[in-house]
Order: sequence, then C-alpha cells, then structure tokens
Amino acid sequence: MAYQWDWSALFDNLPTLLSAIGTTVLAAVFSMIGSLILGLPVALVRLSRPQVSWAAYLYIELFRNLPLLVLVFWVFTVLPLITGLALNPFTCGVLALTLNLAAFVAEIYRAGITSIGSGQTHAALALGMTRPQLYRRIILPQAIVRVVPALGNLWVGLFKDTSILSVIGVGELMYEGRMVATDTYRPLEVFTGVAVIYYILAYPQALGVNWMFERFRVRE
Amino acid sequence: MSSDVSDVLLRVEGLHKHYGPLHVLRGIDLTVDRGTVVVLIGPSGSGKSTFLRCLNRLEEPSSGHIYIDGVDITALRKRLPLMRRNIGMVFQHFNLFPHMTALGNVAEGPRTVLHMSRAEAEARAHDLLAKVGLAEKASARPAELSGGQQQRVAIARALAMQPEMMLFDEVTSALDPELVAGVLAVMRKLAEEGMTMIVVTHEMEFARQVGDRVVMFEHGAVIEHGRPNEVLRHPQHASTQRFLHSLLKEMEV
Amino acid sequence: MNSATHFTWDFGVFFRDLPFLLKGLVVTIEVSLLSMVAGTVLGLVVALMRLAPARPLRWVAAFYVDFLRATPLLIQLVWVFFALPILLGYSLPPVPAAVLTLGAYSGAYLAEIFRSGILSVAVGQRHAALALGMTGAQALRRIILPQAIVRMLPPIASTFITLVKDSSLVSLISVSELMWAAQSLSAISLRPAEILTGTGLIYVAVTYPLSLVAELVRRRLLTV
Repeated sequence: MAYQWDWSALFDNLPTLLSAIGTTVLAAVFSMIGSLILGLPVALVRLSRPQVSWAAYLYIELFRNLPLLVLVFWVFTVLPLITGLALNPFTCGVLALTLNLAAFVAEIYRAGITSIGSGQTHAALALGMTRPQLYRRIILPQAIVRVVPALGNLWVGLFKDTSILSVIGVGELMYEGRMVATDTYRPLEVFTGVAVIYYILAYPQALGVNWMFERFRVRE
Repeated sequence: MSSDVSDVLLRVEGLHKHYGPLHVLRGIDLTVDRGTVVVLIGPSGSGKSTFLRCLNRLEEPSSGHIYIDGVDITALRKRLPLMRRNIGMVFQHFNLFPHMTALGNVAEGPRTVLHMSRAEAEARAHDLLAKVGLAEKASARPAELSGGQQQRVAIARALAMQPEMMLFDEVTSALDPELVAGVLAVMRKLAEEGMTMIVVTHEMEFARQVGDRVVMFEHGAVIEHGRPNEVLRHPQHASTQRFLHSLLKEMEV
Repeated sequence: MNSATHFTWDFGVFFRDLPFLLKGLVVTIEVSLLSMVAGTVLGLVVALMRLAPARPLRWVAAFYVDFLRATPLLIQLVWVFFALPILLGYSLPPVPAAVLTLGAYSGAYLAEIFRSGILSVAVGQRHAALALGMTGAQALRRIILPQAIVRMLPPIASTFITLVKDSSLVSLISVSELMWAAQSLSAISLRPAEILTGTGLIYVAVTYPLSLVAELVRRRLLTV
C-alpha cells in the first residue's frame, strides 16, 4: 500500500514552528553577543606573556575540543549541582553556546590581531604610543575589519547549533518540530518541513556572509 | 635552409575563435611544411598564443579546419589524446610537474601515455636530459632548478613523446635575460636536426637566424608573412613596421 | 553564592563505571571512522560531479552540498532515523542510520574540500598533462590529485575531528556510543556531575591530541 502523504500535519502547525524560529534567533543572537564579548579578553590573555597566556590556551583548547552536546548537558545538569544556581533551560543553552563559541571567537580575534604586520606596531611605538593606545588606535580598528567575515561564518554554524538546545527543552525550531511530529504521528512530513525551513533560513545568511567577504576583503 | 620536399605537415583553413563577443581569431590560413621553423610574431593580444593552443586543441576552435598529416583534427573526439602524442608543446610558465623529479617529468609521458616500461622510459629520459644539457640534474625537483633549466626539462619532456611537430608558446618570456640564451640554443639545435617547429616569440634575432618563415599577427589575423629577411628587414605592412619599431625601442632602453 | 549546597566531588563512581564508558568510546570511534570512510568516498564522487561538464550533474551535486551544509546535523539524524523508514517501508537500525547520516553530512563538507583542492592546482598543470596526450582521467590521477591531496590534508583532518565531536549527537538516536553511555549512567547514578564531567574529559582526551597532530601536519605541509 502506497504511503498516504498528509501535509496538513505540517501546515496546520506552521504558526507554532514559525514562532519557534524567534527562539532560535534569540538564542543565537544572545550567544553571539556573549561570545563576542567573552572572546576578546580571552584573545588578549592568549597574546600576552607566557606566564598567563596558558590559562587562555587551556580555555580555548577545552571548549574547542569538547562536543557541544556534552557541554549543554553539563551546564544543564552539573552546573546547578555544584553552584546551587537554578537556571532555566534557555539560559543554560545560551551559556553553553557562549562558552563554546567564545573559544572560536578568541582564535579569530587572535588571528586578526597577529595578521597586522609588526611594522605598524614598531612605527606606533616609535612615535611614543603606549600599548593601550597602540591597540585602541592602530590594531583593533584594522583587526575588526579582518575578523568580520570569519565571524560571519561562525554565525552560520551557531544558528544550526541552536538545534542542540532542543535536548534540554528549549522551545526553538527543532524542539517544536519534534513536538509537532510526535503529536501528529507524521514525522516524515513534519521533519521534512523543518529541514526545509532551516534551508530557507540559511539562504539569506549565506548571502550575508558572502557580502561580508566581498565588502571586507583586505587589500594589502 | 630551404625544403624542396613539398611535404605539408600542418594545414590550417579559415580558423576562427570567439570568446563570447570577442573575435580572437579571424579566419587564419596557414601551411607549414615538414622540417621547417615558422615563427609567429605580433603584439600581445593578437591571438598568436590562442592560435597555437588551437593546434593541439587545448583551445577549441569556433570554426575552421586543422589538418595534421592530412587528418582533420578539429573533428576528433575520442582520439584527441592520441593526436596530442604527435605534437609537443612547451609553455611560457614551464608547467613542470612539481611532485616529480626532472627525470620523472620527462619519463611521465612515455610511461603513462605510451605505456612504456619504467626502465625504458627512464632510459629515454636520461638521453633527452643529456641532450638538453641537464644530465646531472635528473634527480632534481623543479623547485631546485633555475627557470632556464626548468624550461629545458620541459622541452625534453615534450621531446620524449617523439612528436612530429613542436609548439613553443613564448617559452623565454618568463625567463631572466641571462637564461634565455641557453633555451634558445636547445631550440636552435632541434631546428638543425629537422624538427618541424612553430614558435611564438619576441626574440627577433632567433627568428631571423633560425626561422624559415615569419608570420605577423594583428587583431587575430595574419597581416604579413614571408622569409625572415623580408618580413623583419623590409616589412611591407604599416602595422608590422610599427611593431618591429616598438620592439627595437624596448631593447634600447 | 546562595543556599548551602555543599557539593563535594567524588570520582569513585566515575572510575568504577569507566569500563562501561570506554565501551561507548569504542563505538564512538567505530562510528566516526566508518562515517569518515563513507564521507570520503561520497565527497570525492560529489566533487567530481561538481566539476563535470554535464550541467545536471553539477546542479544535483551543488544542491546536495548546499542542503546538507545548511541544515543542522540533528535534523538530518532525526529525519534519517524517524522519517526515512516511513519512505523506505522498513526501519533502519541506529548504527547504519548514524553512519549514513554522518557520512552524507561530512561528505558534503569533504566534497567542497576536494573540489577547491583540485581547482587550486594551477590550470597549467592540466594543460601540460593534456598536451602530452593524457586523457582527462589520467591527468587527474597522475598530476592533479597528487598535488591537490597535500593541500587538502589539513582541512580533511579537521573534518574528522569535527566528526568525532558530532558523533555525540547520534546518542540521541539510540546509538550506544560514549554520550549515550554517559546519559544512561547519569540517569541511574547518584553522581551525574562526576560522570558528565569525566565524559567531557574523555572526549577532550581524544580530540585534543588529534588536533595537535592535525596542527603538526599543517605546519609541516606549509613549509614543504
């Protein structure tokens, strides 16, 4: 007997799914902001003297090599146990994503900063600038331009990674998709629809990243 | 050197090439007798290199016919690689295979294309490297060789296929001036041995001394051709005169 | 801090249950390796399709790469495990479903790596090979791929490391690998904190050395 497709399972529940996109975006935005902020001190420590940079190195290597799923569960299950803090799933998810992403952001900052030729550092110091002035006036303005496209790539991965938050009950697109699929007993139609929604959402993001690579292309 | 054997090796009829709206070759007709050296000259962008690459169909002609030994090669599809064995090509940027030694480069054609045994191919390669004066560099990698040495290996690599005809695409343009003479010497020796050669070059002295015919290209068409002493010393066409004049001025600087 | 939660670490439980976790680790490694092999084969085929002269081939390959890289791995896993069986008419065991999905997913990334690796070999090399009378296939095999492989090794290595990390997701479709083992233990154990922390450290103990090796390979290849 041929399979009877029933797309109403998907389309009747489309409003639920579409509003879940809001949670997806919110989680991604908060995590992106958090990691952009957290990544900077990590990068700066990583670039400072060896006696302290090892701490940043540990952070970066730990969170780059730890699977995100493990981190999400850890923040959700273990963190409350050891700190006594009660955190809602959304906060746990954003925290885990931020900790994970900040490690990659720090490496991008570091590459951006070190890519600026040392000649400029010498010139600035020769003029009598202090190190903070050097960073503020010379290095960071140029580094920012170089890192933006790489950060755009990170964003695309982050957006997809929000789906992992579904396992701790955050109501983003993946979670709502599973709910609808189990409620309607129509996993084929619903999950296909969810996948297509992700695909459609990815399109403008990819265009945005391409635009960033064009706009911020470094001309030496 | 005149060839009284009227043995036409290459005949080109009405060759056109378009790159989209650009009409790069406008109806080229050319005949090349066996054992002769034809030199193609002209300003950059005049279509000389494109024409050369059409001869072994690294570029696809838009229309026209190319006959090699009587065979219309423009119609070939599956037998195209076979045809290319008969034509050796040397490139401006050498295009040596960097992951092989000089010996490996020269032996690669015989081994992979002619299915010779490794021993036979390498023996032939050794002979050819000696012929171009690089016997002792057999186990060197391209990166360890000078530009002139790399180009001579490239010539040996093409010769290893024992072609009937050799195509040279501005093979000294990318070389430091002091290395040019070494490569031209190898080409001169080849010509003296009777190889049929079509050479795109700016080296006018070479054209005069070694060439049997000089063909002047401009804007994708042949505007003048004849014996070297005629074309180079007494150019008839205004454009040829202008071009040769500009080359002279460059050399004075 | 707030309420008096005196949490004391006790890794005794973790070490007692370590053999169970390590069995899961073996499955993790098996799944990762199988998926990598599948992904490499698939990636090579798709890369060649994207470089083929026939436009339908190029289009299909490009769509495959686009779609699998644009959608989260989790939805792909869930789809293959729950939705595909409905289409096929029979259910797929967890491990084949996992390897199929991970293989296809990494295959999409590897296809891009292979394609840009092949394209990065200067066009003159292809011309020189063809001028000698090689067929396109001979040129690819003897001249282009050997040069491309060297450049592709660093991104291939990091794809594998990512694969090992992503393999943790297949615990969610009931594959008895490391993460699944940790979850099972945490559910019945009194000490989930130590188990999860220890599991995280096991993952890092596997992927960190791999990333060091990958970095070493990258440095050596850059200087050659």
